[in-house]
Amino acid sequence: MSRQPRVLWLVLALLAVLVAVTACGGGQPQAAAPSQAPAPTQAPAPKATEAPKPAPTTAPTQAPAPKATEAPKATEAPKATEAPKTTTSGAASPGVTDSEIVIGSWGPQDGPAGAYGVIDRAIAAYFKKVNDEGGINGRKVRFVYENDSYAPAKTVAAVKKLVEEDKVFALVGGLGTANNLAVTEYLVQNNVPHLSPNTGSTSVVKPLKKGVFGLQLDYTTEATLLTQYALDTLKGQKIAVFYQNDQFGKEGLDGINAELKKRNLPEATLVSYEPTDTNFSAQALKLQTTGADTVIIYAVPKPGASIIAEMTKIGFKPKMLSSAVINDPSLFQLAGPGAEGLIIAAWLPDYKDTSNPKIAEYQEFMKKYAANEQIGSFSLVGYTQGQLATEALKRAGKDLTRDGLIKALESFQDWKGSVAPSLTYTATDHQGVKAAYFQQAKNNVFVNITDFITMK
Amino acid sequence: MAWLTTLPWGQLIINGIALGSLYALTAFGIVLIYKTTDVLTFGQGELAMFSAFIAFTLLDRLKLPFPVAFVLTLVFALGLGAVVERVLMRRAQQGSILNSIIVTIGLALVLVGMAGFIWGYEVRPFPDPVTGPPFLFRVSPTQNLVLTQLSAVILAVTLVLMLLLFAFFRFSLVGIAMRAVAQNRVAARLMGIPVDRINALGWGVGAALGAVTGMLIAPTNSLFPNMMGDVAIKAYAGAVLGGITSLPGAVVGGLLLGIIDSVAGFQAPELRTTIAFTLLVIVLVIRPAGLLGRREIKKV
Repeated sequence: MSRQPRVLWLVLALLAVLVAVTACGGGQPQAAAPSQAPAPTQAPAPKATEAPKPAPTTAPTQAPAPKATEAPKATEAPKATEAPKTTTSGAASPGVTDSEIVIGSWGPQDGPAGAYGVIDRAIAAYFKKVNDEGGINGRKVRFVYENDSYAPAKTVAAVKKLVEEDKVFALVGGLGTANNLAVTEYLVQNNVPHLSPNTGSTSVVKPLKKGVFGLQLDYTTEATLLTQYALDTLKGQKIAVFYQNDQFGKEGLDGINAELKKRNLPEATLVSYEPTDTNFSAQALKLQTTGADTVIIYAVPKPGASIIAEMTKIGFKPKMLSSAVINDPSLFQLAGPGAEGLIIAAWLPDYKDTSNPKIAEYQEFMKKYAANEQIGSFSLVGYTQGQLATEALKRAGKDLTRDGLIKALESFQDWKGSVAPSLTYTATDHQGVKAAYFQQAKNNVFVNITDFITMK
Repeated sequence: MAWLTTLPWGQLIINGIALGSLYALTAFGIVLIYKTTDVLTFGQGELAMFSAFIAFTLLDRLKLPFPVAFVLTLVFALGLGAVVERVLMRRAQQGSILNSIIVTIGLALVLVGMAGFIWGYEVRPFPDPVTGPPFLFRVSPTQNLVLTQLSAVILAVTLVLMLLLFAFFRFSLVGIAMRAVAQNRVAARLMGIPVDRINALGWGVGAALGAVTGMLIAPTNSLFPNMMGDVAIKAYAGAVLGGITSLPGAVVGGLLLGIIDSVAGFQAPELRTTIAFTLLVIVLVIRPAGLLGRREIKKV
């Protein structure tokens, strides 16, 4: 009994700590909303809250730290001591021997965002297929992917290991916005190309970075396309936005408002949520009371599905459009009947649509090389990235260098060899997919309602 | 302050009660374990989550009907709680009070990791125990207030459990023994109360309550290893707000916090947690023992 008051203080102290933890780290659990779809995108989301902070700080501080022991001048050190050839092109490149090319990646294989892990596993499977078919220009690909549990600090360590120990030639499909922000500078300094980072944030490719080539449709383009479609085709009069209060959501929001401003329309009404939120009844009510007839959703799958379910509960049925991030296999189960009619912008063809020969080929590939993995949008992303990397490596030729790879990528002109729509890279534009098509939910599947559309 | 009158108060309060009953149920388990074993557990949410996964497996893999799965899960949780007490808490409690708190936090992390390992981290839908159209209350020709059947069930279950356990502690011999153990272990043992068994029972009942919580929360919040994170934090706040020693307090605190959360989430979603906890701090400054808690007076 006499302990009671002390217990109370302990409770308070612990509560305070826990609140602090959820407040700043909270993103994670929700991120959990694991299953996201074109996931990469969302990756940003959950973390995004954390992203700005840990990411930039970890990156610079961490980079120098380990090195400091070896050599004072941080970033230059490893190159100088370990791999003199890294920066220079022409000479034999790191990660390339007569018989082998080492390619690396990172992504979460466990933890709340573990569902994204299939992307790396699909890339690995794709390279296995490539090797079975004889490799690339006589070399086999060795694909090394690290598990960073979606934590930017771990990403930094993983990428340093890949670059300095495994001596990878290039990276393919490193996942997460915050995670990418944490290592991009280091990769650029070390001249390690990074093909198709798995994030929809424009920040990785804009401003232009020498070796970084984006693949997936970026949020800004996506949001602009969605807004144009809502106004022009759906004839929406009043738009409200439900968005995740972080970089991911805000990038979508900015794209929407920029388009509205261009047309001299009033700004959208905003309703945000925090990555830690688990209940969205208040937001649904708010969306309803704004009187909007169109709601655009920039949310990760779990909150996105929940807001649809909550809006349905209170009988609010606006026109709904959403970032493709929401497109998770469990969306329809989580959102319930309210998801009917939801429109999303997609940049990869529907993974179920076997009438598309490329998708039939993908499904066959999955059966043969990744029989244990789910056929779904995540593995399709990895498959596409495998295709892109293979084509780029092929084009870079027998005399493989990093600069050669970059040049090869910049020669992509309306390339349609992957599942993705046409890809074009130039020396000044490293953003890959710039077109999307719209899909609408009908009887719990997304059906295509347009062809590929580019921004007006 | 014009917005005060323009808010859709009716629906906000209904939503708040629906949300608050989730907090209340969780808070209830926390207070129950605290009252019976004198340990403040931080693993209640995760026990609930783990049991919900067990229920999910029974429903989804073994295709058992809901009532059967419900009962089996309760039995499992009862056992799990007792095992936790027997294996972990009994030893941990021999140290300082801090030890047992840390052990419960560890337990929470272990359960999350295990659930992730066994079932994966993807978000899954959990079947609704009740289906049917929501209750509508017409307040004006254009506006209906909506209460889903699930929310109504959760609220009803919370209130019934509260009354049952309140009566259990007040009138049954075992309940009185549990309170005696919580108050003074040594004296209780001297009175012939099997303290260890009572403690195990306390954890078992607490975990079973958690199982009920998990099975009722999962349909709304979906099923995934971290599903209880936000709920558990708010539940602690609810328990403390209502008075950590009071079972009705847990329910009142949970519901109140749900309403605050709902209103704040509507008016300023980015501040909902901040607002909820600021109010909590203010209440505790004014009434340190919580709204319905008894002030513990130290005898010298």
